[in-house]
Amino acid sequence: MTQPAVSIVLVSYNMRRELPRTLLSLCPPYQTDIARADIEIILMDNGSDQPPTLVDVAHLDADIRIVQQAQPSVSPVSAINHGLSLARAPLIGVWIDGARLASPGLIAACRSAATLHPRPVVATLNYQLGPTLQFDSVRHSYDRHAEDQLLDTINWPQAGYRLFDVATSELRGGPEGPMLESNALFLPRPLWDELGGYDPAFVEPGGGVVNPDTYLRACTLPDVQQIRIVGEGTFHQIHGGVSTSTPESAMAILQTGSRLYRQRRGRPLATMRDPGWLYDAQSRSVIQPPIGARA
Amino acid sequence: MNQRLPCDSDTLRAWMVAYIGGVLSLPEQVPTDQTFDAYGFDSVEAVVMAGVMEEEFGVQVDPVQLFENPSIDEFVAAFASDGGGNMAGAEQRD
Repeated sequence: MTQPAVSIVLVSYNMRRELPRTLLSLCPPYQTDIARADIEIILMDNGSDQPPTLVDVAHLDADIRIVQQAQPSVSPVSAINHGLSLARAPLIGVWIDGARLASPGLIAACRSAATLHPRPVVATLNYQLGPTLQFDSVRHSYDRHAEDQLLDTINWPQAGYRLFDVATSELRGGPEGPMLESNALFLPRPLWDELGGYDPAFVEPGGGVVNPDTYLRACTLPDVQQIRIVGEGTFHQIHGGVSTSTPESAMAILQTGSRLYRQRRGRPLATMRDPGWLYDAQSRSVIQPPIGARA
Repeated sequence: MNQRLPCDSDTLRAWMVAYIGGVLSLPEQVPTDQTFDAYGFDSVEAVVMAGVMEEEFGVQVDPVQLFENPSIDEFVAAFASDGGGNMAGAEQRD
């Protein structure tokens, strides 16, 4: 069995509508500039009522391993860490929300960006399908049906990059702006080991702010270089998740998470204000010099 | 959130200035009369601050009040124990 170049650890829970699209978006030929043998997908099912099966993914030409988490939890942390332990590639991306679609060049861009530094922390940017962030758009008739229609209007998946035309960035300040988390964070295996994976202390639903915590911890490992991918992204499909349902629930999750974070870490949760390097997926180059090199 | 925070205006103002200044790494004092947006303190950070406030002061803090009172001075006036603004405030947690 040959070793893949990139492993994706993807967590899902009761995403029968969203997951097929997500998996399609992670596999060639939708994913471009990367060969089938280069990608391994480890799908961690975290206790779904109707868990996905190999039959469900048989039409996809990809190395997909489906793992049922032995003791599923409301937090995805154990499932993620189990998935990390199974990953075989030297570069591993954790896809904490199985309801997020990828743009077509995302994996190749992450793979390429990771070669630019010996200790890269490759962060992808988060978008949400729909005219506004989903906690708001759901108040204006945006629902699963509307989203299905939206994807039809852009001829997805044939026109993968048109996701950008129908989505809203989670970064108000753009790619250089303050960033709280990345749905798909790619680190070399040694960095995941150094980080100790996701912190099991985050036992609350959805893991609370475990994803921001992981991103922040990764960015503050010694001698690492954060590299944000520009021109690719992950796109959230609406599914009733804990942080995208209503403004109140979105704020409550973040506020409670902030409080618990302070208890656990002894310092306030913070957005990452240093954007690191911005890697343009189209030109395959860094479009912004390292912070330390700026005048 | 229908009671004030258990601290006076000077204490609350100083806490917010220190917190926001620390988050933003501002070289100068945080302008207390300007809106949070004006110096780049975004809504996500405001909600996070609400959680930290809860830890710091032991009260419930409704993050919506940071959007309805979107400057340090406005929030302090509304929620400090000796503030002069319209009644808002915070609720003691059990």
